[in-house]
Amino acid sequence: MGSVLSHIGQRTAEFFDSAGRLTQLYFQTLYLCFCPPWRIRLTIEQMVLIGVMSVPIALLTAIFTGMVLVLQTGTQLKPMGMKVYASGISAISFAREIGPVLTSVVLAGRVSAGITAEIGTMKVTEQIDALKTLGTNPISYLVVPRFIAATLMFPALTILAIAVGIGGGFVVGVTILQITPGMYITNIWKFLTLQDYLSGLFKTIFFGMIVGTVGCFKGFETGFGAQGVGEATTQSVVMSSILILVANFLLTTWIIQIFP
Amino acid sequence: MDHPNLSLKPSYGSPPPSAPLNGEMILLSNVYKTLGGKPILRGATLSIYPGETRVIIGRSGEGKSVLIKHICGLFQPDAGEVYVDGVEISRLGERALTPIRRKIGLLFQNAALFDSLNVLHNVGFTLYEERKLTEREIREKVLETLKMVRLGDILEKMPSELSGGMRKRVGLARAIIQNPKILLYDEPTTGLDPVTSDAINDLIIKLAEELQVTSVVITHDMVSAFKVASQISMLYEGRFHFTGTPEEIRDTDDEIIQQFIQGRSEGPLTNL
Repeated sequence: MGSVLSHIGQRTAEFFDSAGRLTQLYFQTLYLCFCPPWRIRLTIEQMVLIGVMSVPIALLTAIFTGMVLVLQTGTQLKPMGMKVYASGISAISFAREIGPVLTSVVLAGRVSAGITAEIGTMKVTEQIDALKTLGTNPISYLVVPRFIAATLMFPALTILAIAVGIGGGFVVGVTILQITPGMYITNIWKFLTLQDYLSGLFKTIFFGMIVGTVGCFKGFETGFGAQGVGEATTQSVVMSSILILVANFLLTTWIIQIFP
Repeated sequence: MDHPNLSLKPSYGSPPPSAPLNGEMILLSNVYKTLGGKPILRGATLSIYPGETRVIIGRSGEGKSVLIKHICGLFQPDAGEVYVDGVEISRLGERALTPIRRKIGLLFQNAALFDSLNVLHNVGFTLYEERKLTEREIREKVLETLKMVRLGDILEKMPSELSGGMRKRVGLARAIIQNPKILLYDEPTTGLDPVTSDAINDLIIKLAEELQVTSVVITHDMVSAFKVASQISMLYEGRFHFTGTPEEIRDTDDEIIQQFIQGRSEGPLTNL
């Protein structure tokens, strides 16, 4: 019993220690975002890696999820003679929740793992130490460009994903559910507001920050050797995904009070 | 005036914790460090004077690399003090350490070149960071530095395209481009063939003479140690067991030192 309690106590202390260091890295990064030198070339490189290279996976996820969502919603509404509303209802859920959250969780897998593996490898090969000995702050050089890139590219990819998801739903609605194109689009306009769209996009700014920070944090915390990099990468994806879901709940609770 | 160490006889055991400072370029005073629950340094005290090439020897896991990381501020001691060029650095924050680190060049064991950057950007890293020189001036300075380490125009090559010896030289070029006062070498000849190792040894001697730097070389390659050292210190059980010239270390009767320099598997080092 004593050893179980001791184990729980130790894990709890480790959790809070880790959370403290993650928070410290987040605020240090936020501060350094506004301090020179401005690493524009590195930031653009990261925007390409994080954003442009993630377009295929983000859009594939969005199009199939959008199609399934309309199919499921339409099938459930059909017996009540309300299948025409499938377009509007699906568009709202896609813009407010599914688009931002699903895109971010899928991107977390790719982006967070990539960042952790890269920084983790740099750590085990002493490249981070080399940066320090050359008088360069590793947070400024490595974390800030990735943080800014993720913060900007997550909303950008979500805008595309929502558009493509709704487009995929349109194809299913028109071809399988036999809703006329005009009726489909009219219902989207009737149901979906700019606030729905913006509230979803607003959340992805924070999701991008989470993925950028956690990816770098786990990279810096990498243990020894290839095994250390592998473990850190897995932990990074799990931690990013969980934090996105928790942050989504907290942000949605807040947003709903502002835009009910 | 001669440096005090030059008139000293070989010393056995760690000297008592020094009072700062007696002209040392580097002084470690009674340094303790525990890593992962294992005590590594246990009262290590070491004085290194300007212009000398000090070789630190010791078995694997004795803490030689840990020691060198204390000198450039990558580690902070649990107890004790570290002085570099007259400044006590063991309690300094990252920002305050930056000017000290600019005085130090470190050649890492595996060179630690930045994988994603070519040779030009690796060697010229600090120049690009400072943003004071034009692209053309940086290229010229990098080429000049590469020439000092006996490398030609390999500016566009990536680290993955270089041999082990070339990687070390590029790492060395990166370490010396800012004209440091101190050069630290972490096992510079490990993993290299004997001919390439000798070329690196020649470079260490050449750079010490040309740049007038204080050099600290960590190695367990005794051929290299005898060739480059002005003084050799042996780290044993977390402290310095012996400090003397290469001749003195060769001639000592100390069983621990003789076992190490002769590379025997039997002896006090292994009969613990």
